[in-house]
Amino acid sequence: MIEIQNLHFSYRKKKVFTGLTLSLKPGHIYGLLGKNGTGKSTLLRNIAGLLFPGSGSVKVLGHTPSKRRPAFLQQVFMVPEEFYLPDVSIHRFVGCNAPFYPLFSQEQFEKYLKDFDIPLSQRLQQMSYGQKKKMLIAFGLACNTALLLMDEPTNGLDIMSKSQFRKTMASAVNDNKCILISTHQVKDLENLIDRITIIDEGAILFDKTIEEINSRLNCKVSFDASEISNAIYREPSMRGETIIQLNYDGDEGKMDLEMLYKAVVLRGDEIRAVFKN
Amino acid sequence: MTANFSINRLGQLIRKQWIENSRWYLYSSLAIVGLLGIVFTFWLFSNNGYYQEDVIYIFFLVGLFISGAIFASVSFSSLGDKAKATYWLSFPASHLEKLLCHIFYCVIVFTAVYFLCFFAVRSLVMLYINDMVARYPDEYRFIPLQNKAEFWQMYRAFIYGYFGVQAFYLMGSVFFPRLSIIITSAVGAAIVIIFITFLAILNKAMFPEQTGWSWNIFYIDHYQGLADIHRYQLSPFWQGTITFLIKFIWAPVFWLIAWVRLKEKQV
Repeated sequence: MIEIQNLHFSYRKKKVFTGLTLSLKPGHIYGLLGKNGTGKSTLLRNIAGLLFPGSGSVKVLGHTPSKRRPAFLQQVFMVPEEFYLPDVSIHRFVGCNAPFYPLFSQEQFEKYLKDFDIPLSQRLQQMSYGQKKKMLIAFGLACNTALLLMDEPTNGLDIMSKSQFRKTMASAVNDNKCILISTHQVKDLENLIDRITIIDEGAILFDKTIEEINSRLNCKVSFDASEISNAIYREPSMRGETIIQLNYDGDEGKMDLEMLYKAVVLRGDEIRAVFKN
Repeated sequence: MTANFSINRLGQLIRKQWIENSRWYLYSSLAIVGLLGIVFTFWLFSNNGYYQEDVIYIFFLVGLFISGAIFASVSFSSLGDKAKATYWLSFPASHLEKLLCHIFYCVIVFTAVYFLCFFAVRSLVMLYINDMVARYPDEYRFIPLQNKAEFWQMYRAFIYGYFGVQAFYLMGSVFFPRLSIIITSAVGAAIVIIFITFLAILNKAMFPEQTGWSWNIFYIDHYQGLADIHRYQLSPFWQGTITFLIKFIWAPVFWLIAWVRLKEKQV
């Protein structure tokens, strides 16, 4: 669905990507993680056709995004971190935007709004930031585009809304749809994403499915001194040490994404070595 | 219908533009009526009862040029704001359709609304003038247009110019989404100054002796005596073609440049 080959991109003199290669397939929810300023949003914008690669190629659903052809744009919906909504009612917003998305479902839209507890009667500019964002997410999901790009979607959402967001997103993915979520709030994506991609210094630092991660690594709280000293990554916690270690017995555990992220950033070579063979 | 152009999609886009901006359009129309009202009120009470019809049409032109330029220069102001630009650029319509939608609002809707606003205000002004002239014929006078044919010929030339100027400001709003009216005006002034300087240099290079020659784009006259004038001129075909291009080429050229620039926009 998304094929990025040898992507180079820079903002004037500041290089962001120097040869990034990535392939994303439908049927998955991808989590794009990375420190501030590592190029997560830039990558999403290159995929959406809002920024153009310096060199290399980006292909999305067979299209070149930078051409921004209607046939491409109607298959992609982006929920940006900084978004704009016109000063109209939800009803009017849908009335003038939905016809441009051939697979838009009014029924789904109303269901998502109900799930997110958004009143239909309000004008968009009268809503809080979180409400607007949920409305935009609901609209984006109801457009049923093949690719849904989300940049920090949980920013500004309250705890209940974040939980609802995870539920809604999990129910929205299907075999034809690809969802790419960029965030630095790793915890918000737990139990949601099925592949994690970490970018740093303009390159892919780590790119594995949750299944692969869980089959090779194990995250737990330990009090055992030898276990702690053999761990790939460890961190003191209120109850002993939280560690990431090799999954010796092959049982599928539950990975703490925040721990994994820190492990990849701080012990990248050791983590990658685990996946080499 | 092609991948980049669909009448149906353009219609939807025009509808969407109307729904999202109707309130702004309404306020703009009221502002035009208000400003015209102020200008005419000032004119009515500062002329000691002596009113010329051609002044009314000069007001019309000046208002049309200024408000048309302002309206066109905010067409793509959304591109100066990251959030709005993202919303606008990622919307499933082609650059051509998006540009045509703005051209529709600038050229057709704005011009029609301005005509309506102007003639509504003018009607009230004329009611007042006619009433005063009828009641106080010694104190109030209204002078209708004197040379109508010549006046309207000149007027038409200005109207052609208006569409060119408006297209220039529309193009400017793509290049400079922020402070577009100021920057575009400065660029326009610079272009005019460069052009005049170029003409002066050209004139000096072609006719170093400076006297005995006059020229424009259609002919060169050489005066060798009071009755001895040699004229070198383009054929009527080329004169007609150049006149046509001067009248009508500016707006399409500026729209074309705006379209190319829109395709290059990144946010």
